[in-house]
Amino acid sequence: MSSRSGALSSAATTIRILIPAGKATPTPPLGPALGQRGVKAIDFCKQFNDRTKKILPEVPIPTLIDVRSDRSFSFVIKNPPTTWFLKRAAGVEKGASKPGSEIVGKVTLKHVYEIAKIKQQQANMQHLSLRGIVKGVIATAKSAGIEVVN
Amino acid sequence: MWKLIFSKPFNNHLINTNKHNTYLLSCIIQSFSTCNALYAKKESPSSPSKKSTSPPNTIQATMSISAAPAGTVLQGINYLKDGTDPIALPDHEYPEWLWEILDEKKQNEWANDPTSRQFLRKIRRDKIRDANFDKDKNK
Repeated sequence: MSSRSGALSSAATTIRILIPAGKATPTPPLGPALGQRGVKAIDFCKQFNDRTKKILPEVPIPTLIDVRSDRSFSFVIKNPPTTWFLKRAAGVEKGASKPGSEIVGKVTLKHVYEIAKIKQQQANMQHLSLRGIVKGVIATAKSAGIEVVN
Repeated sequence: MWKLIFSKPFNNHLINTNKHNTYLLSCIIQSFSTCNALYAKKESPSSPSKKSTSPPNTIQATMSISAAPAGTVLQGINYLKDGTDPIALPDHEYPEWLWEILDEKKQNEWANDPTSRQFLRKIRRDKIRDANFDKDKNK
């Protein structure tokens, strides 16, 4: 997820970024993105690391940071990306470079079911049926070149 | 054997909790296993099984054998510090729709049934798309 560049420092902006859990404040991705909008990176990182202390370190966490015009911020944390779960379950480092023609790993339906259960806990997915989420996970696996097996 | 169910839609659908159903169809032809499972569960009290977790007959008949048998540790799923990877349950303890979800034929069966929710939904959406296209052209 790339961070969007804010036009004016006074405009309210949203930053979408993947941050490894418990390890915020790397200068390259996060520091400038926050600094541009007048948010103190240290404050954000303290809060972020606090919220993610129950998660295994280095797990990529998609976050939405809302920065208001008075330089205050709030952020929402979601669970790790589906592709990350799938690659981990299939024991694969990277997805296929040519998904569709290449298969990099295999995952069973039971894996997919458990991943869907975790995904359902996310705030923006709670109204969906588990079956719908399972279908989504299978589609994500297809786009990553991971085969779903019975 | 499948039966026509004359009932309100989706009140008797075991797993679907979709809140947006407002169709008042008088009969629904459900997928075979859901229909049969509904009747199987109603008839079970008369013949109590010894094991509490014995699988209903329909699942044994329609089920495909999972590559991850019960007791397999599903690696890579856990992402919390104080959690563990989930352990696979026996096949019949997963919902029935799970075993059919990879079967492309079954997933596209709704296209043959003009009274099914997905079919009507498709018609409705196509109409909306056409109407929007016409609106654009007029601009």
